[in-house]
Amino acid sequence: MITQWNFYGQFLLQGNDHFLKVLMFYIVMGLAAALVKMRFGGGKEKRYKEKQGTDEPRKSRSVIKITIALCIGTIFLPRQPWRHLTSTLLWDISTSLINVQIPTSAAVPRNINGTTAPKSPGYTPSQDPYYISNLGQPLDPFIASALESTEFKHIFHIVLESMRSDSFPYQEDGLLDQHIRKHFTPVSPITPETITPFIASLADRTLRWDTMYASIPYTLKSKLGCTIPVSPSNYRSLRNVTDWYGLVYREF
Amino acid sequence: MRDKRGHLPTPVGYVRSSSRTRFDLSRLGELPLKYLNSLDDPLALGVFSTASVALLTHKALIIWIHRPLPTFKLLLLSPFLFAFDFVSLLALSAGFLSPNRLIRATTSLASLLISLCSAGFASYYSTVNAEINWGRSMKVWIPIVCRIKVRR
Repeated sequence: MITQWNFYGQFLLQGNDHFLKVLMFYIVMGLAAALVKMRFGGGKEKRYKEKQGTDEPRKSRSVIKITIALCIGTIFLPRQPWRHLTSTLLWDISTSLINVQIPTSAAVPRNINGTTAPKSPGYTPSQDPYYISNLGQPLDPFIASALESTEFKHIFHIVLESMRSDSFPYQEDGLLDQHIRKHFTPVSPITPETITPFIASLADRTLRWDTMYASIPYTLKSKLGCTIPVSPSNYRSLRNVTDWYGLVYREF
Repeated sequence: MRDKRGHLPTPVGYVRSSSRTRFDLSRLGELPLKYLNSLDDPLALGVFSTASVALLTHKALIIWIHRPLPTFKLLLLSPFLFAFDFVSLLALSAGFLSPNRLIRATTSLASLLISLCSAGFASYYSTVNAEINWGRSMKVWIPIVCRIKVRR
């Protein structure tokens, strides 16, 4: 795993070419400090060392005391969002690596229906009688030919919440247009470029579909249909309850 | 502690004299010199400075991502928000000052890792305007590496 340099590169270059610019900035700052140290590493510094040599242990002890006090103080910070902001980079990476490495290192063979080992104690696909996998099915020839020699770099899964079919694709003077004009600050003209400029910029450089279908006209079941590409009515993983919204997810 | 006449100071005088020594603004000018003097090796100081800038940039970006935060609370709590970064820097500083070569090498590697990951974080933020999820990135990345190892 240590020799997979390509993957280290891909891992760090998630921000594309900005990575090298930022890294260069850090290196320049370090070089500047080293150069200043070399340039002014003479008499002034030696005099300062002699002067400060006596009370250095006392000061370092006080710095450690202040740091310990600050660390204890972080326990009493409000949980959101302040305590989350205290995490430091090495801690984040170490905990992420440990959390990921422990489940992946426990090698469990694949089951008959193509499921992998349980990733969390809450849900095990192999023990789920309703689990349906399409990993063993052949790829549709039309899709296979359309995607031939295509390299996927990113996949955007866009879910439109409570969007009716008569609002899509976007129509001027349609229901959605009227709703935006009535309830939001109007922009002119109302186009995909002005309302959703980022998604509009993606549309020019990707495969896109101008039609869409909801698997079922209820929000929660539709969401389940999006994440698990099986019709929710067949999947039967939802049960109706008497809550105001009518549906909840079953245990996962 | 005693004055010229051999008298002990009054409580008010004691507090004044102690506050003068603790909050002497003229001593702030010594801070750059103190920083330059913290490590003897210029190369180690350069690597340490790179890691320091990387750590502080990472924390500043995290705070920036979670904006808008109430300004007063932010000013009040900012020392606590940077506490673990100070701990990291103290550990790095202690590592660079260690006489053991292995510890110094490990510290240099940790500094390099901090710089690389912070650069990755900052570049990811500038590209997609969001915080990088290390756990998710590794969940995607580690199985791919394991699969390649199995194929070989």
